[in-house]
Amino acid sequence: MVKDRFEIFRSYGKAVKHRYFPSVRGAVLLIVFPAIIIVPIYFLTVVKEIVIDKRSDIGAAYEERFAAVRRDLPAHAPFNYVSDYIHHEDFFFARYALIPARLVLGLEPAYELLVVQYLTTPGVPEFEGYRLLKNYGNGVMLFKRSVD
Amino acid sequence: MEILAFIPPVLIGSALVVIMLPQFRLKGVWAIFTICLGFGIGLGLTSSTIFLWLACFGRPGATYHVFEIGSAILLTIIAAFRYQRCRSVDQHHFGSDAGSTDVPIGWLKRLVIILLLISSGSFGLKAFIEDTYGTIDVRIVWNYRARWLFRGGEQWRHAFFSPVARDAEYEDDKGHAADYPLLISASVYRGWEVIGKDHFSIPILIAGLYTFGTYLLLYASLAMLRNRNQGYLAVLLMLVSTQFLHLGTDQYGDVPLAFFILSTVGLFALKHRFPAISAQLLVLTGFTVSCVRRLDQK
Repeated sequence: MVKDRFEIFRSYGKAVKHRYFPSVRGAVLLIVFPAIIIVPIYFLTVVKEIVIDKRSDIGAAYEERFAAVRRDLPAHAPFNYVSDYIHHEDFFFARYALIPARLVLGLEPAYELLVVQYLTTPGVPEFEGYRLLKNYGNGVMLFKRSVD
Repeated sequence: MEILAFIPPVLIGSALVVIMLPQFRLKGVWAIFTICLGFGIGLGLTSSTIFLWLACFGRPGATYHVFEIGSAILLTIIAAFRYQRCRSVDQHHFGSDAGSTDVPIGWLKRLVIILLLISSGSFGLKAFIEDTYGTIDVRIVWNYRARWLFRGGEQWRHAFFSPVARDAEYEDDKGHAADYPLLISASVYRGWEVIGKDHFSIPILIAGLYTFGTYLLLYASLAMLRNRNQGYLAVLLMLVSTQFLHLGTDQYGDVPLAFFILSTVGLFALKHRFPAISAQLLVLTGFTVSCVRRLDQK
């Protein structure tokens, strides 16, 4: 009885197997099985990165941090930018967030305004020829050139 | 709401495809092909028109939007008229006589749909939460220029320069990849102009539409040229390489480039398959090739 049922199941399985892509079955399975495994695994990896690793976009943090100072910068005018955040993309993040003001990295040539991002250095830094105009409280400070 | 910004380009592009190829029945794979190709061509055209408008008449306002929506409606009416006329005179419709050999395998179709849905979930989570502002290329080139075009006002030309200090002297450097064409930047700028703010969702949606447009275009092209099962298998093969989806979430320009290269190859292949409409297919190929040129200067 059990053997008969097993035989029926086996012949059904065989018929199903032979129905699809009879000549290139191996190649098709090489595509289908990895897809079934990889796509959900990739989804779970993304979920893990967000939920467990708490990964978020660094660019969003820059947008938020520089939102206030951007309103205080005159459009199209160049300004100096100094940061203690050692990240190879720091300049690009800041430049992008502060458009339409024109970011010049470093203190030379000296412009009227200086934006400072000190995330790890405590206290208010001092820059020769500049005085603090506004401290935004999130590591971002705006300096103005003092009259010589 | 942001998705509404893409309705005029899709209408314009799809209408152009229907005007050129009224013999294509707007059903099943033929409809998918028309809409995917139309979306690409439409976005390419509208990115050109908005940039030309900005360069010639200044910041596009209500007049530009009226012009764009008016063009979309006009082209859609012409396309509908031409499609109906082609049907009424009983011309041969490609796609109306699906061959008996093209019998889709149910489980394969369901599998592709499920995996595409899972992939779209991965894309949405990664793009909207993890990599909201895309990769470094986006901030240096594509969206940097788009943001200057949007926020720059009269000084939008700074999009093509980058201020640098050399030997304590200020210089307007040409910036990174100064000769990169403007299809993506102008498309993003167009989206921002339509919604009125430079929200991160517009570049993400553009990336998503090109990414999943590529999957669907690949399926539709193969389904038209061979059969639907081969189309499903091609999509599965592409889904196995999650790198393509990853590039899409990073908003790389390579994904739209892949879309337009695939469109061009597909149209050339269709030209051989349907010699009766080869001239129309060549015109559409011209559109896609020009979009490739507007994405990559090489």
